[in-house]
Parts: sequence; structure tokens; C-alpha cells
Amino acid sequence: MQIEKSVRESAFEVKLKDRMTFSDHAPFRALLDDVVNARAKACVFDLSGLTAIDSAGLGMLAIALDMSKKRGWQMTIRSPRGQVKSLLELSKFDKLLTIEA
Amino acid sequence: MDAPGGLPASTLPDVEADDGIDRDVYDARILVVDDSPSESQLLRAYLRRAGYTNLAAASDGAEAWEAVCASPPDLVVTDLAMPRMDGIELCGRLRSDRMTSSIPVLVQTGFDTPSHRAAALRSGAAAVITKPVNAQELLALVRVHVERSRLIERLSEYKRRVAYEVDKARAMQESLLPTPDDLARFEAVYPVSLASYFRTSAGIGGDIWGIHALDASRLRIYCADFAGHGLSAALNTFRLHAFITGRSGLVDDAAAWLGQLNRFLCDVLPVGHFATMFCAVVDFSAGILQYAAAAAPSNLVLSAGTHAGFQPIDGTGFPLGVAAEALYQNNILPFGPGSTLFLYSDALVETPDPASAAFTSKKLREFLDARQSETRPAAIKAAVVEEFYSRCAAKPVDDLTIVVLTHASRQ
Repeated sequence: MQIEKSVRESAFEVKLKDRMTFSDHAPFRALLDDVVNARAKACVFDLSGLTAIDSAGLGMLAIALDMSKKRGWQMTIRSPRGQVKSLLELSKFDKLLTIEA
Repeated sequence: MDAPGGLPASTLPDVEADDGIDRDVYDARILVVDDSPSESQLLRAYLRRAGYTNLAAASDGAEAWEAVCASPPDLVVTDLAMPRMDGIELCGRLRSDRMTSSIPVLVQTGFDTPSHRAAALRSGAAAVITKPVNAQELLALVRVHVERSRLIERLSEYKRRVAYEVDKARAMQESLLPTPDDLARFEAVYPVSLASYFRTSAGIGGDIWGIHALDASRLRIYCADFAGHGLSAALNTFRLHAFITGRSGLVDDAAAWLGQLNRFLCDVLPVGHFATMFCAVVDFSAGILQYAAAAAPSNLVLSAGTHAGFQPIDGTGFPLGVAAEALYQNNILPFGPGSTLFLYSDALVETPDPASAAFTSKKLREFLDARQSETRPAAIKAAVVEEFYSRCAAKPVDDLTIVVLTHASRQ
């Protein structure tokens, strides 16, 4: 998975591209640490370029959500597509996460 | 220190034992092969002076080969031009035998041309030293190759140990699952026919399924898949299994049962861990199936008498272990005699990867519908498994579980 990060004011925008799987765990955790260390108020995960996500990827989103609640930053998911969108709906993560079309 | 072999001490270069090395490197057994006794003694003197004490000598390739077979060394230093068997042939022999192929060979040659060096390296030498041998160069090469060889041995040993442990764990995990005898017992008590397939991607994995007798006419069947695969997912299956089997006070109702499991897993699992699950309570007297799902794949059901073919079962629901307050819903399907339930883990529709899988849920339905005349679960399962492996060129990266349950037709 590719991670493209940009920061404006105190908001992170992260584009996740290609496939999010178990092997992306370490870089994703490092990204979350960056968000916390920067004391960001919000982080938007743009998933428009993410083609697939597996259960480990869902687990990473759950970790991000938990961290956002504990550390006081707003987590938003933007534009999930295809299999990613279906999986978020199947697991009702669309009810747990804030999702923008 | 007196020079060995009668050579005056002043002819030996000032070579000191390097204190940066792991002490056990000096225990390395080194075989020096040279048809010139004085050369052989000199090399051994360099090595001894540097701290290597476990030295052996051979005067040609044939003697060296016998010495290697008798007691494999950690490293060989050999001349090239020797009678009976030369250095190139010795290298080739060592390389071609599985027991000796990883022993590094340092070759010394008086011919310092690229083609000679290349020939020596091609025959399997780890390094080429030009004669007259420079002691520092020799010792540096010996050190590097002995350390590398030790490292490879430690890694191989570790790998063997891990493979052994994983194999034991796999056997334990298989023992959590219903055995053919267990299934036969259910077939004796209920008007049911059962077949299952279970294969992990890495020896152990996060899939688990089970079947429980609830009363004279009802059984429960479930299929769960812990996120990720390998060791951590497998450990979670043991936890879940212990909770399910050890706990009294678990209800029969499918949705409420999932709720109980969910609260337990929310309590014990770290964030990011969860299980997807499907649970069905089959009532043979009433001819119905009650199910609840937690983000399960679209399992398939063929309700006898509806003439509609296999239908997908919506698996939408919160995975277990994510949200403690999650509520699950019951749904009822007709499941009279002749009906079939086909359960599977998502490896079936996500291999080689979710966006371009060998089987989609739609293709799976079409495959099963085309074979409706085959009603025996064992045959249905075998057909799907065979088709799956023939469509997947690569090995599955996830654990694959398939369970087929048929409500036996009235005879």
C-alpha cells in the first residue's frame, strides 16, 4: 500500500492507495504516531485510490479509530470504493466511522 | 611464542587475535589442503597464531575429501594444483554433496588472472586468495566466512525449531475441530449429512468452525474467522473455543449467542483483533434455519422446494470483538428435507486477492447450481475444493474452511 501524507494547519490528509493488507501494519502505525505527535486535530483518510482491503486492514482502521477517540483527533474516511466500500458496509464499520462520499 | 614447524618467529607477520569476534569462531574446525608441507605449515601457523586451534591438514584433494567425510570442517582452505584430486575438483565435490555443500572453501592460487579466479569461483569457491598468501587477507576471509557459516547454521536451526513448534500447534488446532467421528455421531442422531474441509495457509490460522447439539431436533453450526492469519489469529481461536465449550449459560438463540461471544471478545481482545462469524440453528422438525451473522461472507443456502437455486445469505453485522454494544439480528429461512447449507471462509472468494478472485460469490452460486443433482455434502465439498485449486495458480494466502450441511430427504 502507498501512503501519501500532507499536512495543512493542524489537519492531516492521508491518501491510501493500492491494497491495504497485513504487511502495511508497521508503516500505518508509524503514520498514526505522526498524527499524535503533531497534535493534529483531524485526519482524513482518502480511500478513493484503495483497491482492496483485507481483515488486517480493517483491524488497522479499528486501531486508528480507537486512537482518535483516546487522543482527541477527528478521524474521517473519504470516498471508499468497490470492495473496500462493500467490506466497510458488511462489517458495519460505516456505522462506527465517519465516512464522506 | 615459538613459531611452529621450526620457522623463525621473525618470518611470521605480526598477526593478532581480533577481539571483535565472537569467541566461538575460534573453535571453528579448519581444514588446510596443500601438497606442499611448508605451505601447509605456514598457513596453519598463521591460523594458530590468530587464535584458531581446531586445525587439520590434508595433502591433496582425495585425502581432503576423506577428512571432510570423516569430520566435516567449518571451513576449507585449499591449494589448487595438487596430485590425485586438485582444488577445483575438490570444490566441485564439496558443492555437489548436500552434507558438505555449505562448507565455505577458500582457494589459493598462484595464477592471478581473471579467468583463473573465475574458474575457481565457478567451481564453488567462496573466495580466491593469490599466492604468496597474505596473512591479513587470509585471516580476514576466514573470519568472514566462518561467521557467515555460523549465522546460517543458527538460522537453519531456528527455522527447524519453529517448523516443529508450528506443526505441534497445528495438530492442537485441528483437535479443536469436529472430527469425522463427531460428524458421524450427528448424522446418527439428526436427519443430517455433513462434510467439511479445513486448510490453513501457514500451518496454523484464524479459522474455526463447530457444531453443537441443542436438543432432540436442533443443532447449532458456526464458522468463525479471526482477522489476520498465523500465530496470533490461531491463539484467538483457542480462546474462543475455550469460552464456547467451557461456559454454561450460553443461549441457543443465534443472535443472542453472537452477542454473548461478542461481549467476551470485546473484553479480552486487543484493539484491532476481531472475528467474523456466522451462526445457524437448524431445526429439523420445523424445517427452518435461524441465523445471525457478524460480517460473514455470503454463505449459500438451497431451500428445498423453492426451485430458486442456491441463495446468498447476507452476512452483514459487526465483527465480534469490535463494539461491545453491538446487536445481532436473527433471520429465518425455510430449511426442509433436501435443503443444503454451504458455509465457507472468505479465502474462497478472496484468493489470490479480493479484487480479482478465482471464485466470486456469484460464480460460486453458479457452480453449485450447475451441480444441484449432486446432493451429497462430501461430493459438493470435493467438487468446490478441486475447482478452487485448479483456478488458483498461486497458493492461497488465507486459511480455507468449507462446511456443507444437508437436511436429509425423507425416504
